[in-house]
Amino acid sequence: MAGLAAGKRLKSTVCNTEIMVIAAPGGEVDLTCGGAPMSADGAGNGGNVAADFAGGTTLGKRYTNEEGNLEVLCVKPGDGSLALGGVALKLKDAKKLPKTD
Amino acid sequence: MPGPLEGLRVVELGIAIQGPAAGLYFANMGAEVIKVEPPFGDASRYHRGVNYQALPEDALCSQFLAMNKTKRSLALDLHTELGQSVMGKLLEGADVFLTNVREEALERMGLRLTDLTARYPRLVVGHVNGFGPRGDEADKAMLDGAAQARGGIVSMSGQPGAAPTPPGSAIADHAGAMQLALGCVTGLVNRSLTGRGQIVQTSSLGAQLWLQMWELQHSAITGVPLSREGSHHPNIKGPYGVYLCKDGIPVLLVVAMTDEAWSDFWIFFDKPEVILMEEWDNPGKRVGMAGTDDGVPEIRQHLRDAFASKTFAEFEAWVAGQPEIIWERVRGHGDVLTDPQNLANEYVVDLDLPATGVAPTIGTLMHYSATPSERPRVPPVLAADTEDIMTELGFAAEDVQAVQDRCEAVKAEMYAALLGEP
Repeated sequence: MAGLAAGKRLKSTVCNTEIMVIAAPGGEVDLTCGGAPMSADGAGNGGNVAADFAGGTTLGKRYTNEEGNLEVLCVKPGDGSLALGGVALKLKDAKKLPKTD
Repeated sequence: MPGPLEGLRVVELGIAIQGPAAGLYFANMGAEVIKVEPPFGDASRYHRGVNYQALPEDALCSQFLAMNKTKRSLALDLHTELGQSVMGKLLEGADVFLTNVREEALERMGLRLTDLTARYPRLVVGHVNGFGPRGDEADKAMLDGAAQARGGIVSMSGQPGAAPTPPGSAIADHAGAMQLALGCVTGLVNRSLTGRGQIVQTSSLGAQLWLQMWELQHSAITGVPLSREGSHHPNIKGPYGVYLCKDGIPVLLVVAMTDEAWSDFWIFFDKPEVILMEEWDNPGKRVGMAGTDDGVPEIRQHLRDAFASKTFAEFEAWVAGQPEIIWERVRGHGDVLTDPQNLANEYVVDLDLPATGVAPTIGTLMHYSATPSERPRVPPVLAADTEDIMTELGFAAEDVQAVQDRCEAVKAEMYAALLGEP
């Protein structure tokens, strides 16, 4: 997949997941959902969610890689899970407000 | 239970809103409030206003009704010796005298403020006017809008570049009344410590400054006066503001507290790219702490577009699951009077009124755990308590009759002069 820029929206080709890129590393990025490459319009070869990437995505949650240089926001949930270069992205913890009392 | 101020006697010489609303506070808290009225009555008894045509001629006028619940009415001609004598006797047993009558008029009635504290050392004498007790305009005539304009609050409402817009409420009068009530209660606390009453003076102008404490301080410290921002707060540079939904229903959005809620908000409106705007990517920025114009027009345009894309029902159904988004539908009076939250707190209660029947009114607005106040009662008919009060004060029946005859005569003259009626 060509380079990603913040704000780019991608769709899964095997489930309903849609994401928006918050931050991305430069260069080629192998971002998949449900084990299949994502695309701008969701068009692909069809197929099913791969068993190893079937954890699902959650609306409004952010996902990131280990290095922390890729971050995406789920804007539509689906059955597939996200991965970069075959390594599953992890759910980013929501920032909690500090207690002011 | 009659309320936390049971046993206090307050004498109110009030006209329209500012004085009577201060008296109302004491009545709501259980004090005995004797409203001393001129023979014609408080002029607000005659202020029918809009939409009253359909109501009976003897319907209580809303301004009088709102401000004079739970009081007793004593009508006196304070320009007569007997009237002043009754007032004097009344003040002997009073804890608070409060008034919004101008000082020069008070003096003509034998009620010079300094004389009162000299004569009744334990009396708290509360006086509220338009522009404060000092300065060249201390005794200048005032109606609510004048103090609003003078106090700066009118200049802060309305669209930039268009004529300023006064708020749709007599806030100068009401705020002045709150200040006066607070001042008098403070005077009572001081009296409990020192044994002495004193004169307490405030004004609707001063109350306007109280209402704008933050904004005025901001202008003062920056040296740059804030200016009106239409549907937005002049000192909250951010999303805060009123936006119209697709069906025209206005929503005031305050803030999305968490980043997650901010993301959810824009996902709902199908504009997730907005969360990439660095100017608003943390709660502090979104609540306007940065204080710059960077990104302000842009985020507000995004919000206008977003709200215009959804009906209020769609937004409300979604936002119900978003406790970190602070917002409210902009409500009209019809909504307010039936708001379940107002009913649950008895901020709005029913009152069975003569001539018009049961109608909502504003409740006492305070909850005391040990001495809860009673619900407000119907305001008195003019002079309803003259005989009882004068008798309680020890006046003879002929004095009562003389006061009543005098009031009737003056009232007839006033009717003839003002309304052309016999």
